[in-house]
Amino acid sequence: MRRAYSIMNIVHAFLNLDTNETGNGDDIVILSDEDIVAASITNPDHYSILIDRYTAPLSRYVRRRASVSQEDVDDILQDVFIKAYTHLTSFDPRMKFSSWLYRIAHNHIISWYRRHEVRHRDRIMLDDHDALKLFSGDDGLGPDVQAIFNDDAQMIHAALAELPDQYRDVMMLRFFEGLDYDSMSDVLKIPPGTVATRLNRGKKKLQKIIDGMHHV
Amino acid sequence: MNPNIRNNIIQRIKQDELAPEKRWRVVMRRLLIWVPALLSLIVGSLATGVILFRILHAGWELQSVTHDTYGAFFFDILPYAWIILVIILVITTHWALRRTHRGYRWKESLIVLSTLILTTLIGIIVYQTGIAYTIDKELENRAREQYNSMRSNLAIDWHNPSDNRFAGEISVDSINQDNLNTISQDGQVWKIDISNALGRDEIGDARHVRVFGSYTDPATRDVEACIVVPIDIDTTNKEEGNMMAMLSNSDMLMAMAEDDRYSLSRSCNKLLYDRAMIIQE
Repeated sequence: MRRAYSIMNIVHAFLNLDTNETGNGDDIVILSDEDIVAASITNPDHYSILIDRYTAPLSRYVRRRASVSQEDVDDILQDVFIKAYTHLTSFDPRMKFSSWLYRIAHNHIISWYRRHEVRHRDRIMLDDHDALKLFSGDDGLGPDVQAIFNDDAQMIHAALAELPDQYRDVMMLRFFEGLDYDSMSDVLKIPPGTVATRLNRGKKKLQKIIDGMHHV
Repeated sequence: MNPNIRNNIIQRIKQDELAPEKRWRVVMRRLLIWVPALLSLIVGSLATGVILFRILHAGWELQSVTHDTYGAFFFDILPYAWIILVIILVITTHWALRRTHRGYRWKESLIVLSTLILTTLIGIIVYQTGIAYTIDKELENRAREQYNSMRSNLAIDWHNPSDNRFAGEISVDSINQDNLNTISQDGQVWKIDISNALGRDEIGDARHVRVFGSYTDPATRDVEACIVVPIDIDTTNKEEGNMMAMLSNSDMLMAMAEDDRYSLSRSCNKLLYDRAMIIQE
């Protein structure tokens, strides 16, 4: 059974249970991101809950976006969370907190590329498990591309690295982070229609690059 | 999950005494971006109103007299500087709207279309209320060297001494009610005898006139006027005096030349007759 809790109950729950859930047994309440954001503005200790929730997915996202050491990943993550904390009051509950956080991470990674002069080709790091996601869902790449992947997985990685940034961004957010079109619109600050267009063009472009590589 | 990351972050927040930005700053920042958007929209609308005014009052009824074709006339009257200004302001409005808090979610076409529609609608109001006329007039008053108002352009288009057409501003030292000193746009002074001219009684307080007539002395720029009309545009945006439109109608010209009731001089009758012949050819 779910119940609504006041902010004070959230504080009580956090201090007593050291968890982002409150209640016991069958009576579990999951605190929403928005509730925790509101509590974190007045008390940074509550912010830990959000950090715990999003460290893993953001960490994977950062690792995928650049071939960097774990130390650099941790540094980037810390910067992202610090920046998010200092901008908590600008978070608009009309969007998902995860989208907002991904937006900060996305922009921070781009700045990081520029500061460290990361080459275009090094702006992606996938494992084969990740790459399989390209073929999932109704809008995934076709079986002909999957056949190429089965023969030579590295070709897919190389092809993705060759994609222009604007297409690769939507491809990665869609297939590897599992974001919907609205969320991608909020992350990249482009209209949802543009997201769909870029995704479509990105897939075609990727197909073309792969065909070109395959026939060389 | 690496607990060190969490602990490091919380520690850093507390050590550096970091805090979320004050809410009023966030609100102010979001409101501020609307300032350039609204300013661009307003100025763009004013410019659109002036464009409408200048196109609609460009002397269409005299096109056949001043220009060979409608095409030549249209391209001549277009207020290019104002059009470029409107384009720049539409782009600026679009840029600013895109950067509003939720502006990124709007379709490109929606932003551009709504900007154009709003600018046009407000521009029509600017024109209808006479604000466009005032802007045009005031700009010339304040920047005479750099800006030609609609009235000045009408005078420029009309003034062609080789075609017996003269236009200019009536000088304050005009001799008397039968003779006007006018200053054309190129700064030359013309002495216009209007004692027998059609329309002389309609001049009133007008400061700018169009004249159809002939030289009596080209060296001194003395002109005998056959027809004279004011070219002041009043605040209701109606141009007065399109009598000159008859200069493209050979039948009317012939009738005037042959009708003694108009009391035109012999030279004026001949001028009107000759023009009618040219038109008929």
